[in-house]
Formats: sequence, structure tokens, C-alpha cells
Amino acid sequence: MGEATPNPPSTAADPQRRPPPRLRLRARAGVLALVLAATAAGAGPAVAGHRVPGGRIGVDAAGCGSPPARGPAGPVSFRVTDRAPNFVAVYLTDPSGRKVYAEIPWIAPAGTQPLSTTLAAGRYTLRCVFSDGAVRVSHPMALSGRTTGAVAGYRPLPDLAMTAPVTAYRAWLKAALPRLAEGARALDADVARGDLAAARRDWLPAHLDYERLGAAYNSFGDFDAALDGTADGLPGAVHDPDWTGFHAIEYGLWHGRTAGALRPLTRRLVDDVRKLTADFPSEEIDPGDLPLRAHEILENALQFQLTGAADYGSGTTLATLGANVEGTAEVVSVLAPLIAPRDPALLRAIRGGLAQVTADLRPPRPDAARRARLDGDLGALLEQLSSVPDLLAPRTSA
Amino acid sequence: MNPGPLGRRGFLRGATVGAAGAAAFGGFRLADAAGQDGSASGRVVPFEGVHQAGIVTPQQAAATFVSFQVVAPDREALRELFGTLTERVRLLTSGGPVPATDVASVPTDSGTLGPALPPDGLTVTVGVGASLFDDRYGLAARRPARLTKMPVFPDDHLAGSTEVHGDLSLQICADSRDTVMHALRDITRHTRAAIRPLWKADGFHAEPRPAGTARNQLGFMDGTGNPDVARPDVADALVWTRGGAGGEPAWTEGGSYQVVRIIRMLVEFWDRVSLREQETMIGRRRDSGAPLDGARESDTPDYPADPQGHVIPLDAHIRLANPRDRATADQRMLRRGYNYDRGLDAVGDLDVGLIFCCYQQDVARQFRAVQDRLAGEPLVDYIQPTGGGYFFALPGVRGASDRLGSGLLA
Repeated sequence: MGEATPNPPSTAADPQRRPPPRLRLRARAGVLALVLAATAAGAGPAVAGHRVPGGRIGVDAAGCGSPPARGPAGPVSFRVTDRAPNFVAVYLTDPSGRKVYAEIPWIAPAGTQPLSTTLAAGRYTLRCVFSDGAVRVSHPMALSGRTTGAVAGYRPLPDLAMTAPVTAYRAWLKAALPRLAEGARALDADVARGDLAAARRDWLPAHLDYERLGAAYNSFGDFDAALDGTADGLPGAVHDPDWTGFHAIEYGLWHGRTAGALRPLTRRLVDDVRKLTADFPSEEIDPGDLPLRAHEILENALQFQLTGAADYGSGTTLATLGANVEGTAEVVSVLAPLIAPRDPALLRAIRGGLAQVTADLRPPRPDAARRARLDGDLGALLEQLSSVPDLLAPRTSA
Repeated sequence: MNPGPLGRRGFLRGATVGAAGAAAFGGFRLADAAGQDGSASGRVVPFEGVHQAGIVTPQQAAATFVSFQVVAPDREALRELFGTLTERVRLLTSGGPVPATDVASVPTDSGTLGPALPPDGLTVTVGVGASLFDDRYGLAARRPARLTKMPVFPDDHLAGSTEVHGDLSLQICADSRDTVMHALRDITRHTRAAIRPLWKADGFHAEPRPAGTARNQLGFMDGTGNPDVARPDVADALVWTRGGAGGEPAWTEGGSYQVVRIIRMLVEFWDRVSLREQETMIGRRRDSGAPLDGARESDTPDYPADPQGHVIPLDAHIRLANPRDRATADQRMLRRGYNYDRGLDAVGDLDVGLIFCCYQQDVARQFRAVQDRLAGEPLVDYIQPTGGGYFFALPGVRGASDRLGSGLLA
């Protein structure tokens, strides 16, 4: 599947980018996270108390180890040592390589890592992808018998598959920016002529225009902190002179600040949106971030909007949640062509969940019973969305 | 609709969006539990039975009581909820290796108990509140005859409380605290679209000091007069509801009314009260647990010999609660409370007390009657009921194909 030139593991986000104070995408450490998951899930020999197929496997330039030719279906547990001078990614696949059942994203030269899972009856191979581009496949391992708790296999995702969604997503963002600029200018004009009632009306649409782009926060770099930062993390909290953006304006509008005091903030907002728009063509979207966003926009929304924590006086956090749902729906929409062939039920569940939360948010403002339903439905949707990043982790050459 | 074999993600998905019937979940079992080797954490309390576990089960060390609002959109979703609860509780109480995680999923388990779940004496007892029988699920005709919203009693401090009532209750008990929390996280994760937690209270069961019944945070043994529910005839007479009797719907057979009361104890005040006064309020010696007219905890107070209440005052807690006469014998209930400790109040006093929990055949005949008799007792100055609810603990799961609530939803 394409040229195998996997990048050596990078487990930290770009240190140049200071994460904005409230919206913090987890570091793009899919690699590391998956290793931990595999370790935690391992039903290794020490756990099950009886022998399971597995043992030590050495991989090198000559081959991807020698798993046992046959064995019982059920838990398998290998310890894989990289005897090559390069990093190696190891996948447990079906013989055709169409489905991946377990993986070690990276082993360093001379390193050893566990490869454990539970497999149904069938034929499997180990597939090694070395960082010098070499790919080696072991002879097949045939498992027979019945078992419970066998994992499902998933079609691997090549790196390049994410190109089209990222392109589509960028186009959507780009098209949305003029409206954001318009909203910011309207808000600034209200404040300029001292009409704070109009400003309070125009604040929300402008803020929602921004929040709808929620997925974009990392690609907006430091602009997000300037445009939508909360008072958290600022030494002076809501009185901090460096606090700017929608929430700073919100706080002022709903706490009796004068137009004169607010004008510098709205002017700055217009300016920051203009700079963001100018800068946007050069901002990159890491392809691996897109599936994370599908999940984490709404994690943030639960944490800050559903709870009301990000309310600075306007009482509109549920509207913000709605905008975040729209933003998530857009990300899901551009990823749908990749999700559908791998897990159609997941895509259906996500779409159903998005529709349900959208319905829960429709006016009138929810009473206690509807509110509890919203809490439950958002939580349930997040359980589904949490599968997207791992499902769409790049497994080039797997 | 079903795209093939259900993995564990399929399980989660089915549970949350109703894409798959609960029967499909049956194939997924934990087995070969590490820890089932006689070590303490390998203790298994059987899940299946005519009655739910966690009622006449001897008290484990740790408990949490959680009340939920059911948000399942319809009766079919409610049915799926009970199917999911049944499967999760069955798995959690059996213990065993955590299932492998496939490459496309987040971990199947929180991992807080390590790679193999210890059974650890875990019980999860599921109850339903009166509000579940409103017009949402068409269950009005199935309401247990004595199940009402918990009334406000004269000495209650429930005004403004956010910890009252609920559609569904879970009592989760285990030999260790982390096992209780692990079970709760697992259950909520699998049921988010169906139940939304409303309030939660964590409790601990003290060791006997030095022997006998465990003490509450007033320093007194609490539960001495409990009926001997190890005797089936006693449990049948006092704990288990009889379907068809006294207007009870047939499905209630083998269930039990559960009352949960969060009772704060003003321990700073209490500690400033003389021992003599404490003991006359309770009616027992603090050190030995003996009634004031006796020598040992197990001694039965002789009220006919003290009709004026010179030794054990007429308004002593134990005398009001259980007059030890024929007329009130069927009012006895099974108390199964836990001490709680949750920080400080606004003035720096301890927010500690008792999660009172009791089970009975008939909440009106038992808890209600006793509570009415206790109204205004001297002890009320030192305790403040601040939350809780009435629930009906469902009958047990009677086999591999049965599920919680099967009678309720039949």
C-alpha cells in the first residue's frame, strides 16, 4: 500500500504552538496511546494462568518472525524484538493484509514490545514495516476452535487517504471565514456607536460563527487564544488586561462595561479575525488531527458548554454547544467516506447521535427532564465518536 | 442493520443506540478469573438467584448509592437498558480477564483494577423509583403497590436538596473501594443514553470495634436489632415482597422495598454531649452496645419490666424503633447502612453521617411506621436527613436467559 516511509515516532505536539487555554487537543500521540492500549488489554500468560499461543518473536531484515503454524483460537500473546537496525511497525493481519487485528506502532532497534489480543479461528500473519521502507510478512498462523471476546479486524488506513477529507475541510473553513469577519465587524460597529443593546444581540451570532469552526482550533494556532480564550490561566482572571476575544467582550457586555471600555476589545477582535483570514492559507491541518477533532470538539463542548463553565454572562453555552455539534457534523461528513467502509454501524450510530443531540437542543430551552436527556445523549454520542481516532489512525503498509 | 459480528464496540453501540438486541450480547463472557484462588479479592457473590444479591448479603466494606433519571426515549430502550445492566453486572461480579481491545477502539475497560477484574465480593443491586411508573413508559399499572415518592418527614432537612428521589437506583457494594468505583464507571459508560446520574453517596462499613455490630459515626453500634435474615422464614416474612399479596403486582415476587436516606450526623455537637445523655438518647451503652438494662450487646431489652422508662427512656431511639412487642414485630426491617464522609460544611464542620439503607417487604408497614414513631425523638437534634429516596429492588435474575426487570416489562 504505497511507499512505506513511515516517520519515526513523534509523540508530542509541535512545541511551537501554545495550546489555547481552554481548548486543548490531546497531543497527537496516537502512536504512544495505542501502545499503551495494547499493553493494558493484553491477556498475556501472566493473566490467564494457562498457556496461550505466542512467545518470543524476533524480526529482522530477513523476515517478520516465526509465529506458530497453528494453535487454538483465543488469546495470543507475543513479545516482539526488533533485531533490525531500523524502527519497525508490526501488524497482525489476515493473510491478505486487508484487515488489521493488532499492532505495535513502533519498536526501536533492539527493543521488545508485547503484541497481545484475542483472535477468532482463522489464518493470520505478522507484517513488519521497517522505517527503511522494507516490508516483510511471516508465514501464516492457523487458529482453530471457538472462543469468546475475539477482536474484530479493521481495514487499515493509508496515510494518503486523509488528503481528500483535509482538502474538503479546509475549503469549508475558508468559505466560513468571511461570515465570521462580517459578524465581528457588526459587533464592533455596534460598540463604536455606543449601542450596547445591539452589541449584546450581535455578539451571539458572531460567536457562533466562530464556534462552528471549533474543529479548527489547532489550525488557528495562537489566534484561538486571542479570539476565544477564557479567563482561566490568566493571572488577573476576568480582570486581566491581556484577556481578549469573544468571552472578554461577553464579560464586559453583560457586566456593565462601557462602550468606551469595550471598543478596544471589539476592534482587536476584528483585527484578529482579519489576521486569521490572511494567515489561514499558510496554516497547516495535520491530517491526523481531523479524526481527533471529530471526537474532541464535543469533549470540549461537554466540559465547557454543557456545564456552563464558559458562560461569562450571556447564558448562551447551549447555543455554543449547538454550534460545536454543527462543527463536528462537518468533520464527520468529510471523514464519512473513510469511516463507512471500515465500520458502517459506527457511522450510522454517530449520525443518529448527532441528530439526537441536535433535536435535544431545539427550542424551547430544555426543562430538567429534557436537560437530563441532553446530558445522556451527548455522553452516548461521545462514546461513539471516541472510536473515530483509532479507526482512522494511519496504518500505512499494514 | 447488523453489519456482522458484534465486537465489544458493537456491544457499546448496541447498548447506546439500540442497534442490536441484547440477546446478541450473550456471547461475551469473562472467564478464568485470576484471583479466584481463595484470595480475598477472588470472593464471588453469585449474581443469579430468586432475589438480587446485596440485600441479605452480609455487608461488604465499601458501597456507593447512585440514583439515576431514566432518559431512555421509549419502552424498548428501557428494555435494552435492563438487558445491558444485566450483562454488565453479570460480567463485573464474575470477574476475569479484561477483554482485548481491537485496533479501532478505545480500551474495553477503564483499567483501574488491572488487566484481570477481581470479583471482590461485588454486588450491584438495582431498584426502581415511583417516578418510573409515570406516563413515560406505560408502566403505571405495574407500580409496586407501596411504592411512592419518599415523603418529607417532619425532622427532614430536604428543602433545596438535590439528592432526592430518582427513577432508578444502584447500590454497588464490594470488598474494596476501587472495585465499587470501577463497576460504576463501567455501568455508566454502557448506559449513557438511557440513564443519567442524579446523585451519588459513597459509604464505608466499619470494622467491628472490638467485636459485634459495626459502629456508626456517633460511636454506637448500629444494626444490632437486625432480623436474622439468614433464616429464610425471617427473610420471607420481613424482606421479600410477595407478588399477588396485598395488591402487589405478580412481578414483584422476590423483590424488596429499598429506602435510602442520607443522614448527616452533627458529630462536633454530638461529641460535646455527655456520655450519659448520648446513651439515654440511644438506649444502649456506647462501649458494649448492650441495652441500658443489659450487659451484652445481644441482650434483649426488657421493656415490660420498665414501663415508665426509668432505665431505657420511652423516647430512646431503640425503644421507639423497635418496641419488641407482638404488635410491631412485623415492622422490623433489614438495615444495611454505610457511614459516609464527604468533606466539610460552610463553617468547617465535618460533613459525615450515615447512608441509611433498609430493605423490607412493605415500606408502609415497616420503614414508614417506624419513622413515624421516631418523629421528634431526642436524637433528631444531632442528625439531619438531607436526601434519599424510596425504591423497589427488582426480583433476582433467575438464569442465564433471564434479565433484570423481565417481570416488570413482560
